[in-house]
Amino acid sequence: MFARIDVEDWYRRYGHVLFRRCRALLGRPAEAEDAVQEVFVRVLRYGHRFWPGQKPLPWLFQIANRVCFDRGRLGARSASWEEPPSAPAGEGNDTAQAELRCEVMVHLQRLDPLTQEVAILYHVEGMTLEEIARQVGRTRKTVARRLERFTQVTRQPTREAGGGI
Amino acid sequence: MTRRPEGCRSDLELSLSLVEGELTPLAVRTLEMHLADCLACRERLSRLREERQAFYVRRPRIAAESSQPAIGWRRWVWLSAASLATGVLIFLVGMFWFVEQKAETLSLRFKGAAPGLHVWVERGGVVERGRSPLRLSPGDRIRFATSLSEDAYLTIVNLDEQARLTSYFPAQPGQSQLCPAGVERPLPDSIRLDDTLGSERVFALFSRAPLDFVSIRRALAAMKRPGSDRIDLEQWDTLPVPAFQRSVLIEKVRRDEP
Repeated sequence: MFARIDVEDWYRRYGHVLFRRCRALLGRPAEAEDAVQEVFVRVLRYGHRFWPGQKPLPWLFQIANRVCFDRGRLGARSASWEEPPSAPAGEGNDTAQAELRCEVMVHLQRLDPLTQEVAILYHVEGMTLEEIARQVGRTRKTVARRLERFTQVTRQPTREAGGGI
Repeated sequence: MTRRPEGCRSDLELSLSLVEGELTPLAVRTLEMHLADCLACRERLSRLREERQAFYVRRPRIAAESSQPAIGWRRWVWLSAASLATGVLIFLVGMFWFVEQKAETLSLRFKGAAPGLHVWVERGGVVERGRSPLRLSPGDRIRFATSLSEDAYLTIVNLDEQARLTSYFPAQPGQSQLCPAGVERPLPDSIRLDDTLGSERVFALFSRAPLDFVSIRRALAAMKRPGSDRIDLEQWDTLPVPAFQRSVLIEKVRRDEP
């Protein structure tokens, strides 16, 4: 009758998959691990929105994207803080990479969840249109149109998306 | 990004193949056939498997472990008056459980800004702020400061590649000490680096309850490479202990080394 979510089981199954997604968007493994914890806090909070028969992973990815976007805005806001010298060298720590990641995140936040997911699967995961179509449960044509929409948005000047946390 | 060779599998698909039942039987068979002929994908799968295992060693669970039935407001419209009364009672019990679970989930989370660790380095009489990775020499001194939005227990430990663990704060290994909230509050003592060369990583462990140095040492076993006593400090930027963590990688070289 009610959607029943076994949070522990979901974590065991998808925790690492979500970590990979958050790490790709945030750039730092430690921050990505925190983001995964936040994803499951939101699962508890909004679990009533999950309907029986719905696939968990697309919903979890949607939450993870949102968490990462919110953290990206928080990171920009706390620029007055001295950044703790704890980020490891290499992945995600290069200034140019971080700036590019911030710009991509701003573009992504201007889009609907499906287009966000398509763009991430294509540009971050390196999946083909056919693979993306299978993953998101849409036709190849829909995926191609959403990807084109993302490309159009990235051609526009960057401006902060949304307002407030 | 560089597109993978045609026919090769995405990292996402390979990751999902490690989740039981996530791929359809047809997708599993197709993947197995491809892996039989593709060394690159086999190697990527192996790396992802190791990464997945390491992730669950570092973060074995979320704090809220129980599932609960999700109750949506819209669904109550469909219930009769008799079941509505029962449903309200169930809802109240469920909300109480939800609040408790949320509190437990938040046990490792801190209100306000996340805890910060700052490092100051003294080399040859010159003091400057340090950022990871640090390139230092024996005899250099480091001093830590913390930024906390609320009081928290703190332990700072140093770990080298040979899995030798040293307590930096508190100076004597024991239990975490309670540190007050504040911005860039320096810790009482500085540390003089010893003569051991090589890579080390300093971990600052922030927690709501004291951590025991012995339990931290026990957790190192999960970090060692199979068949080896060494630890890859590039891979491990957090310890597999339940604490909010910041870490600094230090490369110790001879002073005259270029």
